[in-house]
Amino acid sequence: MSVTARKTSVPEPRPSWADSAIAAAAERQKLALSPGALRVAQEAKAVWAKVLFPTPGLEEWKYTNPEAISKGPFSLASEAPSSVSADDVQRFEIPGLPVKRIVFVDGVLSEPLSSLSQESGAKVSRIHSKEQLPVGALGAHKSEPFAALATALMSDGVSISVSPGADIAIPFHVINIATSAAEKSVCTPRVFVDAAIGSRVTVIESHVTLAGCQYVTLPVTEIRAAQNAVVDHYRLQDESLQSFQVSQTDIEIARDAQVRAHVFSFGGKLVRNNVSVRMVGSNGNALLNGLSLLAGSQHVDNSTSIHHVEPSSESREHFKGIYADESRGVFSGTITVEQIAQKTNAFQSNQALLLSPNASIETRPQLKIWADDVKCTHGATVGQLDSDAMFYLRSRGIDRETARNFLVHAFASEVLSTVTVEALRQYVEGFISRKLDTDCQAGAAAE
Amino acid sequence: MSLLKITDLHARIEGDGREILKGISLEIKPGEVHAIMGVNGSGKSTLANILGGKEGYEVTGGSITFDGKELLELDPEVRAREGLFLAFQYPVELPGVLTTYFLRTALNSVREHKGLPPMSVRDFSALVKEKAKLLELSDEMLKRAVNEGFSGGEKKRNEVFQMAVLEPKLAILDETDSGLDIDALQIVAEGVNRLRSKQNGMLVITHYQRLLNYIVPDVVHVMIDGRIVQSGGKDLALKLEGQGYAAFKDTAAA
Repeated sequence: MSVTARKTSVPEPRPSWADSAIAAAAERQKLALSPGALRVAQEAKAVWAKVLFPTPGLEEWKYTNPEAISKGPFSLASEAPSSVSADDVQRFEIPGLPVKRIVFVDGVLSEPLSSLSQESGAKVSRIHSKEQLPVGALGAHKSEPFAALATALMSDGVSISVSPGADIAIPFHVINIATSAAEKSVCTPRVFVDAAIGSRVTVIESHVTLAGCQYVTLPVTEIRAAQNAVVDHYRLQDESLQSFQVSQTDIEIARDAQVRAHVFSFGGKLVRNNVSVRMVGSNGNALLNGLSLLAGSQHVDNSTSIHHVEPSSESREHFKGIYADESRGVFSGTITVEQIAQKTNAFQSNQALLLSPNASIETRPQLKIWADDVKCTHGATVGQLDSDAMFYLRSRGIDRETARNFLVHAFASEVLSTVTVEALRQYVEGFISRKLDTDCQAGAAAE
Repeated sequence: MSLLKITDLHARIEGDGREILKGISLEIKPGEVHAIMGVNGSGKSTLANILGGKEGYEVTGGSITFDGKELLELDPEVRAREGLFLAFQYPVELPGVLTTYFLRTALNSVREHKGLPPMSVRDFSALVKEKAKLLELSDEMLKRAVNEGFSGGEKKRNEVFQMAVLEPKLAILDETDSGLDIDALQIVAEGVNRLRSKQNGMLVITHYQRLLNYIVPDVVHVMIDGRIVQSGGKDLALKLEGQGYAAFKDTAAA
């Protein structure tokens, strides 16, 4: 049991790129946002004015220095949609998987490339639509600095609203594409998944790049699973190696509902994934899995928080990372069990495979348990490629690089086994293979 | 020409001054089965690991030729492709690595080295089926990850199964009999004996004479404290069983 004291940050009052971006966003928001969303944006601006960019002095940012993002400078991405062809988009499709596609180009929704039509059981709306959408309902912008900034800047996004009892068999695929026009800009795509009682839906979010440029994406995804609903969410990052991303995924799980959320990080220079889960009903079930495969000087920080506020819910969390070269991983997992949340089951594990002596991982589990009748476990391991396993494979004629790839895939397989969409699982396996072949030289493999 | 020729081999564990192998010499000709018998700590497994190319050992003297090539200059995977097979004393479990995928990759690596095209999935399936039957491995076991959750005996059968699929020129069996009950021992021995031919050779490393009832060797070497103290025909194993290693220790000291 531990309690982390939140240090009071002393924000530097000097002007930053965020100020001018917020000012520029205000113009757009007047036209684009519904009164409700506008109110949320105003709320976020007030929060941002207090918190500003985090620094490593804060406990939550101890191992990830966001200075490269806070220095910037970045400006608000252009509102005019860049030219992205259907062929361009096709590159980012998941082979063999029929989907309903939603495309953001540099943070702006592209209606021609998206299927926003009203499907039976699921309604996709744009924030632009002036409808009263539950944007910001889960409230991450009230505490997380980058979520506050993203919300202060928001002018576009979609809401996927699933009707009670609807079983949406075809997944939604939200493709966030960064073009060369995104150079030095900030993108704030937004997704709200509202799964009504007894409904089922799968949402896949990809973050990809058409050009190797430098930009920062601050995606905010809110997932609300009402009673007995089942939501599968996948975030798949394979962006430019110069890009930055701080994502926020807020999940609320009601009674008897289930959310399985996956975070896969392959590309990006500095990536921070905040995932916050609130188990607000008894018998709720959360699965939170993550996999990172990094090379070069990539840095990925997965910061998760699971809050059990009602009795008898279960959370399972499994994050794995594979680190080559000088790459760096950070995992923080906070599990909070309120006094009333008896019979909570919470399992957390974090495992790292270091492919190079210069790669590193910081892992920080935190359990804050106020109930006495709970089962909570956590564990962390850090290892290198098992030399006995390498020798075994090589002694059968398999070369060193292939043997290493076998073991990396094997290491990842546990996390991938919970990907229920088979075509997506194969697609992610493909990412691992390609990344191993291109970015992770065999020489980097631990002997 | 000899298949394997070890000449005055001296070796130690890297970073450890003590010599474990103190001048081993032996020669296996095509068609021959040699057995090395010795107590724990005599250096048997060190010899097997050095032949297989495991890291962590330092050869301080002597030489090994395999089928005319300097074995010590070859990476472990190249040794395997050249036709050397090491059946492990303790086969590792590889969770997440599927047995058939692993074995097909291995077989095709060997085939590529020989200039042969990759074996088709269909032919491979037929081959696996045939060899699995021989070693009494069930379909269910083949569907699992390599050795995952296998019993000791199942792991050893899996080693010989892999050997049967890869058809090496020289098989080194490192205490393949340990941990096997009599039924499993017979299955394993049967699998090994099927591989015996005029061209192939074997080096059977064991603690006990029992295995040699089933895999009858041409030559038996007694290894004590990093040296081969006596070599002879198959009767030597029986003599060893009757008299124990103590009788040979005197020879070693002499």
